[in-house]
Amino acid sequence: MSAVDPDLRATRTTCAYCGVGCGILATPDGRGGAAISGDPDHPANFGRLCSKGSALGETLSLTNRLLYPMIRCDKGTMERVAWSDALDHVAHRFQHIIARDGPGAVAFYLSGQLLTEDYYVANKLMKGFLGSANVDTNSRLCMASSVAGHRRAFGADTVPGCYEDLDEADLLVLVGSNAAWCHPVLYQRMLANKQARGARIVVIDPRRTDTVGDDDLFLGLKPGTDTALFSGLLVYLADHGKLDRDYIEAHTSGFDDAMARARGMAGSVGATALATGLSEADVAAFFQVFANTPRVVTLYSQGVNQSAQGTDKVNAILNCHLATGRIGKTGASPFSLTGQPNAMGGREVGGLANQLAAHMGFTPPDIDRVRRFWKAPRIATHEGLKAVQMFEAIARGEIKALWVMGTNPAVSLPNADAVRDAMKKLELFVVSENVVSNDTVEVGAHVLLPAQAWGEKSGTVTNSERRISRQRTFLDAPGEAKPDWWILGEVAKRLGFGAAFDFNSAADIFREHAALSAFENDGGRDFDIGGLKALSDEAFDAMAPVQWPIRLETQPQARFFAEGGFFANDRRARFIAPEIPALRTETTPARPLRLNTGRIRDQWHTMTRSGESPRLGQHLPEPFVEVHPDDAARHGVADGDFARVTTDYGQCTLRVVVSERQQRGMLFAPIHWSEANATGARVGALVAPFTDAFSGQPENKATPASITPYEYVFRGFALSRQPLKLPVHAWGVHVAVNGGHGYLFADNADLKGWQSWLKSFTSDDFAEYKDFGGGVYRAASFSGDRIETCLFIGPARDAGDWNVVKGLFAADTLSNDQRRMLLSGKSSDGLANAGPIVCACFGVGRNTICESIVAGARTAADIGAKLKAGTNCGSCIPELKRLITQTGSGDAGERKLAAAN
Amino acid sequence: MSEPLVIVGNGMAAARLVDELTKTGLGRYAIAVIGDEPRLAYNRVLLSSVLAGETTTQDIELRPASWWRERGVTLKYNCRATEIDVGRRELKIVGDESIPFSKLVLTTGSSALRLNVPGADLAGVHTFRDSRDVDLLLTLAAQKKRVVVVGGGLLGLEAAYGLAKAGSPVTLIHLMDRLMERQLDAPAAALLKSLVERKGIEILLNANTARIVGETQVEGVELVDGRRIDADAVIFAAGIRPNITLAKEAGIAVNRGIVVDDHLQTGAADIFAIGECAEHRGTCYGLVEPAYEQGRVLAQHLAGREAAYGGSVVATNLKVSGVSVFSAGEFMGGEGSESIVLSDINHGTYKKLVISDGRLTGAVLIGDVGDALWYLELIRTRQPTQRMRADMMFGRSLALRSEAA
Repeated sequence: MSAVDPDLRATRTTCAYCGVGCGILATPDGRGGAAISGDPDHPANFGRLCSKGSALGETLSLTNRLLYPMIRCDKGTMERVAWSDALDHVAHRFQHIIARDGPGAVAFYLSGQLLTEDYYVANKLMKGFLGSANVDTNSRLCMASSVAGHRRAFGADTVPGCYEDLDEADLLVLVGSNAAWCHPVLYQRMLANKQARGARIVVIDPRRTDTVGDDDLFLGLKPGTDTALFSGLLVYLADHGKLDRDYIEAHTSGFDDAMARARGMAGSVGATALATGLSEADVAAFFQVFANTPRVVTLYSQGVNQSAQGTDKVNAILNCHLATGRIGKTGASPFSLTGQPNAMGGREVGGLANQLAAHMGFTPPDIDRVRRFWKAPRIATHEGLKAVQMFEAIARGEIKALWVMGTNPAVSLPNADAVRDAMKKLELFVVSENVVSNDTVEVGAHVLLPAQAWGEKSGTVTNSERRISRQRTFLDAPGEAKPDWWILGEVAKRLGFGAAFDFNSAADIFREHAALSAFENDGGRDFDIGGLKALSDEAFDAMAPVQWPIRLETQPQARFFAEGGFFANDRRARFIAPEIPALRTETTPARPLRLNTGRIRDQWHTMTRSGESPRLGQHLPEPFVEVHPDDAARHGVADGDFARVTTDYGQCTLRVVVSERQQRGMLFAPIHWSEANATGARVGALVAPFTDAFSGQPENKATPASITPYEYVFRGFALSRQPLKLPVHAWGVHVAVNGGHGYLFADNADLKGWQSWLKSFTSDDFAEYKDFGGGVYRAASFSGDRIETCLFIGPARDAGDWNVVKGLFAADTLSNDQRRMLLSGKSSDGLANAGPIVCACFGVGRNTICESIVAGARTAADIGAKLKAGTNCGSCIPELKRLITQTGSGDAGERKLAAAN
Repeated sequence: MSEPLVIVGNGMAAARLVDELTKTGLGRYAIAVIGDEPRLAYNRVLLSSVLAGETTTQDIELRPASWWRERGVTLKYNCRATEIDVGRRELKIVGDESIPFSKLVLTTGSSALRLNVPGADLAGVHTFRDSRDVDLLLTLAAQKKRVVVVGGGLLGLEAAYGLAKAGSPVTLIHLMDRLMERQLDAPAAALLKSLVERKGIEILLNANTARIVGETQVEGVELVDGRRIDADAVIFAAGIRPNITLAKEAGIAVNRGIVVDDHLQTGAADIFAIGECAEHRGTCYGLVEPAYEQGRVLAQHLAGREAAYGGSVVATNLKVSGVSVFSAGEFMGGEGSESIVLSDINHGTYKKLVISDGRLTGAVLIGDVGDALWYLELIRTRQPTQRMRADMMFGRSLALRSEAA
């Protein structure tokens, strides 16, 4: 921090990662980096940041940045082109394909990391002017079931509560949410409530995650049975007189059907226990505490949403809150935690295939209204294809042009190998990106458009509590990177839609977006930020975090629905009668386990940003699969070894973590790794592509799978200042480290091959340790006193201490002793160091001799008497005498003098 | 009455033997030492340091005259023994004087080999063996004479280093394809070569001397392949030969050296030999340490105690031209053995450990010799090293810490 130029002021912005939407103070260092700290004034985090947010400063380097537009030329290579050429090309190709095959032949696939303004322009272009609703987004994988559940129950995609409720609740129920890792700042807020106010926490999850505290109630239910649990709860609430009859009467409909369905499914504690695999005692304990605690917030996330019955799960939860009137009240509400920084903003502009715009759908009045507002005669009139279906249509050749912005579907979509194959068939494949290479780009993008990244771009994002915050620019955009809205607008102009895309700034777009939200609204639509439609450029720049709705003439409100006021035509909420829980797939003898997938604490999505941070690379550096000990024993896999996980869709090779926290019959693998940073660890390739009938969200957490041990003879790691390309036969993973690039790997090939691989690119200043017979090879090359590259390979678990070597690699200079011990791969801290040997006969080192001189030895014979040095062959005696002269004339001599005085 | 014990030769082995004898068998023997060098026993190993100016010729004296006197030793230096009369138990010395002995110990050492090539007898051809040689070489160096050292073993390297340091332009020529081939493997020798070259010494390998060129005085060296090196002087340092003439002429069994048994006794009763002149179990050692071990054993034996010499595990452990070099055991490896190698050539380090049957059996170290004696101990004691195989290379303290862990 002290290195920061005091003239460089902190910019208030919003975190690039999850949906908590934490405020950040970014202070540029003037060298392309920035110091990052939490914004104490931001109501999402009040200055706190999680590990990922804190490390944002480590992710700003331009390594792997896409800096210029590129087009694949006839030779097949990507060539740099001018922006105008790239834009002309994109516009011309889109125009051609639409003219030939109709608007259904083109699609946009967007990202919850786009800013609202980018999203707005993309949505407007595709739905309003290209005439197709084939605009979908990676949010489909994230919270589409919550959107669908909200719309079914509330008539709109409304999050009724706010973060303050987490402070005010007496009971916090987390369903399918590892908030401790995925929404850490909110989780800390819940813990603070638990400590200060004694709020209870219940965690419902097939996996015992770090979200479960020692004194929390943990319900490790069978996967996919959440609906049964909450149906049982609804019954329990009814049977114990805990319903809010007045609220049900005044503000809802459909209660009786929902209750009948619930009774049929889980009519008692016992039936609920049976349906969910939980103990009756645990079920009863949960029901009781829920029933008796009016202030309850139920938070749900991917464990609920990523399911072929995700929408029903959401509604089963909402049913319980509606039935008790615990909605939109202080400390009482259902609460969907969103995974991405701007999933909410995307929902607001309507950037999903089954929405039109501004929380309006494909009803004739909505279509007409938006058509008039946009002056868009060719507006799409029916829903487009949702993510999974969109890529299936690409595979079938029905969609011929795809523009991907800011996301990595080759990694993140289910059945990702098929997705990759599908994209290869595209006639036009445009990617707007920050990075020059990732798995999606490598599939064979035809056009790469450099988009501005976090810290460069400017606009707004909306967090899980409907709070709109500014992401602001604090770094110059590198190369020719441009805002996504500008790129889209330029293509729109070239397609002849200039009048509708005459935006000069994000503020211009935001004003139009705000105006649309208020257009003919009159309180009939939840999303209304009409109060911001006349914001000046300056006011937009200065805009403090603000929660919607922000209607023109009414007071702001933090919550919805405490007094009803739903957004269906009858203004009532709907109870939904959910289907009996059933996973879409069955396990078989060949696929006896179910694969659950999810995030880890310190990585984000496909790691194109978080993977750059050395700090974040420390926590869990390798792709892994977690297995219950019984399953590990049954399938012959051991902790720390490797295993192949196979499903009907693909195969991965992962490190095994054996853990009691995993349910029997379940595997868990994180989603983050890809071909770009690991070998055979792209877990999306394993996931079945079955989706929820309402939300289109895929069931990412229950794919039937098998696991078999996979043996590697050698393990190792490499560290390098420059990126390395590991030999193709190795399994490996890239890990960001201080000072360069780290690679952890495993292999079965000959060690000599690794030696020649390394020597093919390292300098002559080279040290190596060879014990081929013992299966060990270690080597390092140097540039001056600094390690340039090093490689450690050994038999399983004996390659060397990665952390020790990483520490030495990070240093700018190595001492001679450090260099001498480097290839031991072990810490030499605390080892006695006698110094270079002076007396060879008795192995007496210089440090030892100098100590004896300081202690009073005055002649070689003195030293000989003490240490034996010089008493055999005597050839070191001249050096002993020299040492006496050197050492004696120094401090020892002075000491003698001092003593004489 | 003390028995007369006569030692022929006044070198390091003799001094050590006297030291050991006076500790173990004081009073039993009346000791006389007969040596042909004109000074008290000195540390021959340090001659190269004298040559290099790192120490003075006075400083290398092993023991002062008083030390010998206090131990009652009759010291005759600058005095050559000419004959042993085995039957009469008498040693004849120059001037036909006879010295009777009850026990005789030969520590006659060895001499530098002179190559049998044309011109080997020219003025300016020297050897590097004793104190007198060093004085001569220092004169050459002071005059910046160009010197060719013949022989890339320990002796030749020491001579070359000393001369170069004393100021002479030096070329070292060696018959073999690598330096110190009996102590070093090829990579170690290559590293040593580059380290020695850094000190300004030119080294020619595969250099077979055809003749020394010159009329009366050395003018250069011509190699068999036709190369010619101009020089003002040539130093032969291409090997040593045990001094066995005295024994041989007395009818004592000799081979390359004077043949001794495990009590260091020669074929003749009460006549012993130790040091470089002795051949034990077919081996003539050219290093100081076996001589010291032999001295220790012989002193015990002469004191009437049980002691036997079983041979030395040869280790080279010294600074060669300022470079630390260690070599011991079966360092070349071979059938059934495995090698572990650590090299950091730019930092002057090469280490090879040879393992067979789960034990350390040989080692070569250049530069980093900090654990040389530990390796030597492991080699000598043949203790199992399998458990510390992974760390052994990086020294005793790391290996023992890991083993303890």
